[in-house]
Amino acid sequence: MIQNGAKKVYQHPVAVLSPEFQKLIARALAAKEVNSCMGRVVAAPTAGASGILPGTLYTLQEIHGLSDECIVESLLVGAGIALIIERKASLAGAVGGCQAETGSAAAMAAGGMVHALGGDIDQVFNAVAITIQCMLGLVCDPVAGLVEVPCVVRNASAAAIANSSAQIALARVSGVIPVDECVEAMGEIGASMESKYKETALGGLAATLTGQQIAKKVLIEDIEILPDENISE
Amino acid sequence: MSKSGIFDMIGPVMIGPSSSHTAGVVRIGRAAVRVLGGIPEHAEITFYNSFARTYEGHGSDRAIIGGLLDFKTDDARIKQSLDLAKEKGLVYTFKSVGNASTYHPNTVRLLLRKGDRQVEVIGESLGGGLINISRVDGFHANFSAAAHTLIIKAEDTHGAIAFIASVLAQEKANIATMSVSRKGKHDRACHVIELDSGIPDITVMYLKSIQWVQELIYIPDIDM
Repeated sequence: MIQNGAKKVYQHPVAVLSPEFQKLIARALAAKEVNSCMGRVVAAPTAGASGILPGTLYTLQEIHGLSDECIVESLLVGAGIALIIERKASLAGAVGGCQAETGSAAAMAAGGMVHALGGDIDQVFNAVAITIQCMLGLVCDPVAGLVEVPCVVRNASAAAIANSSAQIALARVSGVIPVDECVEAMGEIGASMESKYKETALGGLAATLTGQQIAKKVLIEDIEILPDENISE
Repeated sequence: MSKSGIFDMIGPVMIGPSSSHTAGVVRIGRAAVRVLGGIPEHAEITFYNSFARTYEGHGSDRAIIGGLLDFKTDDARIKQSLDLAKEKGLVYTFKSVGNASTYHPNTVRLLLRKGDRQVEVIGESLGGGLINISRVDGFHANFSAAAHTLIIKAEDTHGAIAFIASVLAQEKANIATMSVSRKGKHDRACHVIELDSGIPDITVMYLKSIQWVQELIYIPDIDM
């Protein structure tokens, strides 16, 4: 289902906002497409969300002429943010839905970007709070259980949200709800989310007519189903 | 399981698309190669539960074969592993079993053969590339393969645990986890020991030479 979308976006003659925004979207798509095609990626924090940090930080580095050292520091800030989310909520789609994967990656990117642009710790965590607020509730509903639809386009949208949050936080516009409480809300929503919205491919886009038709084509049909209450020892 | 740290948050470097369906599966294969003592000539692979329907779409088939060819999780050859298996003389079969309620959702069972040696390994992919090797040849194993692992099959005899522990203490190898199970009283026992640091070949050979030790498998950190 990968359509070489990153290349098409990168080369398109019309830039919706600016050429930089066009590149941001193309790069987030590109890293994620490589992942879907069994290429080599860095899970950040997961493979399904692997386009967001490279897309945002590479573009930021290019626009502002930042040093590699500065970007490495931002990655460390991002990793710290991920650690907090992992402890208080989750980073796994199967546990917390898509908000836990692309939402966490966007929060990591937003915090990292604010740090790279000289933001202080309050601005960094305000960026995290605002990003989480924008990503809350997103379900994990991959068509046929693959990591393609809608995961690829969500890497692009999460990269865009990370940028909008960073812009808001740099101006010291508060997200009002403190970051810890936002993370707790993410955990609470994840815990009460029905399992059909947690990477099981049973709900949402996966359950649509087209989603099911695609699933029929790619899923293994030749499968032995054991009777209930089996003792398989 | 130990708590994760800040350097676990970004990474691993891996072949996509999924840390649990590809990276973790590669690692199960690599661990199994070490249990067998080499790349298998024949592999009977069963995917259970969540793996059963999706193994092709997620590339878990190429991932397990890549692991059985001893590739690391970031090896670009994983994508071509099914073709490479033919070149390396690895014959494989795939089977899918659903609704196996006693197994973890992401379980793969490997029946491997090389020469006259045959082993059965059951592995679980826990997410984020982490794995648990739950069984080896019917014994409870439960090791992560992230540390250095010793599997010792021995006669069920008194003092065995104390003896093995004292040998490891001599090597200043700290024991992270240890589990012992047995088929029955004075029957076969299986010791599974995870170590924070590796042990030299000579110690492995010494432990192998002990009269009541029937079989010893040493698995250094599979990501090295």
